[in-house]
Amino acid sequence: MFKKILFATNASPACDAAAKIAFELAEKYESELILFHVFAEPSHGSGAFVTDYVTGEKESVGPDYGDWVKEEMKTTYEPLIQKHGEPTYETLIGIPSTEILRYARKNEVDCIIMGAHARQDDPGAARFRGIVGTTMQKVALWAKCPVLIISRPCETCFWYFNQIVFGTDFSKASMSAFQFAYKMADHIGCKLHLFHALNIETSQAGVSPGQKSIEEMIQNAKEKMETLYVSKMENFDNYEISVWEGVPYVELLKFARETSGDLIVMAHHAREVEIEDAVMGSTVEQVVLRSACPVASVNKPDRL
Amino acid sequence: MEKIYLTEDGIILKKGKPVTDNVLPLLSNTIELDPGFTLASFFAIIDRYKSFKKMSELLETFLTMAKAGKGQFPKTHEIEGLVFYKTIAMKGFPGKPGIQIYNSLKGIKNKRTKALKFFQMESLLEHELILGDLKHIVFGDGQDMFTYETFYTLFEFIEGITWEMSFNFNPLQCSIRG
Amino acid sequence: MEKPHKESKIVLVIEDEMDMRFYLMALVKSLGFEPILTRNGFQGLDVLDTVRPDLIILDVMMPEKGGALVYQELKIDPRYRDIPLIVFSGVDPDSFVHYVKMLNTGQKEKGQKEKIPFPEYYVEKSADPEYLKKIIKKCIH
Repeated sequence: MFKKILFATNASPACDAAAKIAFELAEKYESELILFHVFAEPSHGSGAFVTDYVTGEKESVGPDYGDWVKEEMKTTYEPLIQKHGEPTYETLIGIPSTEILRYARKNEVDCIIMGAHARQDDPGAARFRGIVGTTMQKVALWAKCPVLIISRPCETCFWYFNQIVFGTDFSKASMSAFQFAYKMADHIGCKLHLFHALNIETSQAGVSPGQKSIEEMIQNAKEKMETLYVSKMENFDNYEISVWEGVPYVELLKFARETSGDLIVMAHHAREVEIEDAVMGSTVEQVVLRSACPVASVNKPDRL
Repeated sequence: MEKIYLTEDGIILKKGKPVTDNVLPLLSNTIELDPGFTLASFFAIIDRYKSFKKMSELLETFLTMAKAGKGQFPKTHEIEGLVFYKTIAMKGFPGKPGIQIYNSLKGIKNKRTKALKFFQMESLLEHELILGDLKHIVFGDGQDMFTYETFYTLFEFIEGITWEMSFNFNPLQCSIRG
Repeated sequence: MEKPHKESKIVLVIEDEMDMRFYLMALVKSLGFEPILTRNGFQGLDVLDTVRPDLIILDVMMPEKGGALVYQELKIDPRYRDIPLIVFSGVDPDSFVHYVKMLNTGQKEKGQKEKIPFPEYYVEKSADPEYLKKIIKKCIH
């Protein structure tokens, strides 16, 4: 399923949850796991100094730096390495998102795994910052392969995967997400849930649509799923269609909870916008923030 | 501002008498919790005073979960109780230095707080919930926090617990950790 | 780059970010000194049990045991209080001074007479490396 998995890390505790999943996935799918670290050059005014110290050239790193980072990573991830095997190590100096994307493209990486943030926060404090960091945003936006965003650890998710939940708003972007979710489910032989949340807004003058009208909308949504997605699934029949009424991110989290979803797959952004203008959709963000399992943000179908 | 009391049964008392309607103006009142107040009591308040549901799209969901979970989930013994408290954190880096003020709901075990993210919400319902002191954290230092007495408004209480509980959508098969 | 002296001066670095540790290691080595790198306050204090460095470079924002707490311990412990110390932080100095004032209030309430001094050397992380080198040399020589 994944020949190459790139796990982008700064070796801080905030990456621990993503590390666990990266190592476990790589072992399960016999993938090459690349532990990827980018020395963020301009961040502290130290970049030029480090570059001079190492080789004076931005593109290459001297043996000192590469070996040093490798030893640090080995120390940080020693328990995981002992349990799951030795990964490949890559270190570069540059802008993290740029280097991650460049490397992934050049080396035909099938999946990028990252933590949502470089530093951890309590839920209470989490409301003060962006739901995902800027590196994460840029990588999720431009990556040609799916990006698994790990926001929090799940101590019991280890099937990889048993119940995939594909959340759709029927946007064009959702089709890429569907293709990935379907391909995974088909390959693994696990169940695929096709899920849509119907956000019933009150009509004018605060009048809610009647029950019959809601039921019709739900039925229409189900038929749309059949047309758009099921028709493309060939002989795969281990799927279920569900349409719930409510606020999308809330319903998706509830649904994942009840079905014990261990992977949520969503389009990176909801609206049909030009790629350059796309930001991570608010539903994706709210799900990433709270999801107990990894969320795959899929933007482009290139490497599916 | 006059203090209001929240009872174990999910009733708001003002001047010793149960409040029956027009609860929104009480959001700015400071609160005190009766002994024996639990997380279930919190949801009983939301259920009784339905205006509060409009504070968050999550509350309706939580009410359903709380009602369905009553008696179905065993009370977790990995904590001894729940505490709701305020934090003022002086944040230095990354980004601009500043102050963050937020509320948290945590479990208590052996006089230490414990994160609740990995618990099923239903397993927390019967735990006693108390209001804790304010903690002043500087630069993320988790060890040496300054504590002070403080007060909480009804708004902070409802909003804070709702926010914290939104991190508890754990798969039903997940067992408790941590 | 200056060659290491026969008996190199030792610089203890207490810093939780990997990239920062590398930067400080490179900078200290470029001056001919020997860095000992630690990832957090606990490790840093452990090293002090067996090694007396010529200088400590201390980060402030670290998880669990933060740098300000480590600073407090170093400054009230007679074994360590005289070791030159540079607080190296992304936090501006006024914020750190605020914290030290609060710690001193706490000390008073605990009945401890020792007051924690404000740091003699405070370098922000955004500072030019040459400036940090200048301060390190000043501390050690």
